[in-house]
Amino acid sequence: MARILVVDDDLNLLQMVRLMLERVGHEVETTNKGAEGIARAAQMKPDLAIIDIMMPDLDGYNVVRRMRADPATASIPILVLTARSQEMDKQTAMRAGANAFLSKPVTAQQLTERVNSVLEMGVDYHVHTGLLTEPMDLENARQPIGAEPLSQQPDTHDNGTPLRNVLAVTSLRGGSGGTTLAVNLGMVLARQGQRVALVDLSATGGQIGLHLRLPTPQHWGALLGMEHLPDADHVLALLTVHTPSQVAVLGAPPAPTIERLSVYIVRGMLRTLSAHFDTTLVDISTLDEASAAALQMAAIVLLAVTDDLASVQTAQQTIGVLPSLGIERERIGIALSHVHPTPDIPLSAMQRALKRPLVAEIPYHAEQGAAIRRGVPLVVAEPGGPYEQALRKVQQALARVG
Amino acid sequence: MSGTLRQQVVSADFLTRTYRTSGDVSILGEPLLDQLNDELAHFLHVERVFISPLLDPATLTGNFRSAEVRKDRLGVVVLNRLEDGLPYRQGRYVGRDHVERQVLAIVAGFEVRGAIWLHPSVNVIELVRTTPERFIPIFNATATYAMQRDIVFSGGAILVNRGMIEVFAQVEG
Repeated sequence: MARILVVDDDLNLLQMVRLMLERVGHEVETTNKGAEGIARAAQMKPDLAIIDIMMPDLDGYNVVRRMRADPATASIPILVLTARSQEMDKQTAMRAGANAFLSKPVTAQQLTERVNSVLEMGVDYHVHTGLLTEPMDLENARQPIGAEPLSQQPDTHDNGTPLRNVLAVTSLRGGSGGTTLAVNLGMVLARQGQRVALVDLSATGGQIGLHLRLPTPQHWGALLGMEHLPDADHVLALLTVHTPSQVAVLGAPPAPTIERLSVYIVRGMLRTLSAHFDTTLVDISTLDEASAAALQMAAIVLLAVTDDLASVQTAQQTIGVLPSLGIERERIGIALSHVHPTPDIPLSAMQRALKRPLVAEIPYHAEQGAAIRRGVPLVVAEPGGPYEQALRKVQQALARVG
Repeated sequence: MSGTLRQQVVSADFLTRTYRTSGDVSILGEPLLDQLNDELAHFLHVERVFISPLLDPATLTGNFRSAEVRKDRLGVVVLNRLEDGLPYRQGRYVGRDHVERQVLAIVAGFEVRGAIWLHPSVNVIELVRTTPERFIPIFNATATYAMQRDIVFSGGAILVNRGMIEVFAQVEG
């Protein structure tokens, strides 16, 4: 017998599901509102939550994401039960953090069988079948990770839940100061005694090594094409330590590559770093499946913007796209870097365009270009200066949000 | 308790060239296909409506308790179960002697591929050309959005607006 919470705005369906599950011995609680469902889940800690997608107050995708983001509910297995049953809907639900997916209409037998399977496997269970109502192949679902080729592996136990000590710094437009921000922020955190990992996820040659004048003979290129998740030692062996700061850098391949890390590998890599470092900063300069996976796992996404129209436009478009990747707007903060002595557009206009809070405003510094040429970050060349003070505000703001 | 959860309503995706509208239609009076083919009503009443832009079809951008969907603007209607796409007079599309015809319909920006089962005496091309009905069902079908081919809808039945068909062909072999 299990305690099951069912969340669906359709009162008739709630009643029928309750009867179906109680008939086989489960204890069932129901609610017809998504927000209330989250609260009830945190309170009752059910063995399973069955969530509808199409709910007017808070849709099921957001219910699932919020449950996964809250430690109180992150470990509750979630079965999505919905009339929206296309493959795209299933993928969205799984990316949000659902463990299984079932389409309406469903028979009592289908429902109870799926419920029993999810209960048996717990939060680690993922259904990975193309046909939503076909019988589950429990034998394959139980195979250990690594026993079959990566392309056929289920989406394992790592569903991309955000990690509290992972921060993504991103700018999809070159020259917007993303790498500078990530590098200098890493220096600031390391100086405070944190163990910091800095990941250069660029597939076009990477820049972090340049900013630190740090060759990275090992890099994440070694993980390309891997069929099995690398163990922690393998990932940690790819790090190069920046001796002056003790920041550990996971560099990018030195030459542009059309190959990309698989989502599976990115998630495993970040989980390893998250477990071994106080803070992991991920520098992201393009949008692809690998970087999307990294963005999804970041507790905070810091969008680097400069004070010119093109950068603001790119940032605006990025903010529009990220929610479709499962990154809620609430996780996105703006860091504005002034790269000109006088800004191209007023700050107020920028904030109106971006509609996201300004986490920090980093002042113009005439020596920024020289700092990169010398391989000495500004916060190292001028400790305690205006640049570092601005970054400390970033750190404080991130601590509040995280 | 036996049967499915819902027997008095059917859930469907109503696709135009720009939007995906998901909702429930009461079928107490008549099946959905017959409601769509009712020439006396220009609109279809849909409840529990959720809409998504077709280029981002999984993202829910709006919801309404009910809405009126204009039938002649619909491209295709996607249903999970084959039987939900049958008319009241099912004999036209299901029968012991019926044979399967694989068909392709390009309609409202979608490539719809699937099967129609008809009596051997019925020519599927002639049926599509001459039937007075606005919507015809294609079974066990997929609808691929031409503008973004990774957007694919599939269902036991896809009801196609005959008035928006651009190309219709029987697939040989």
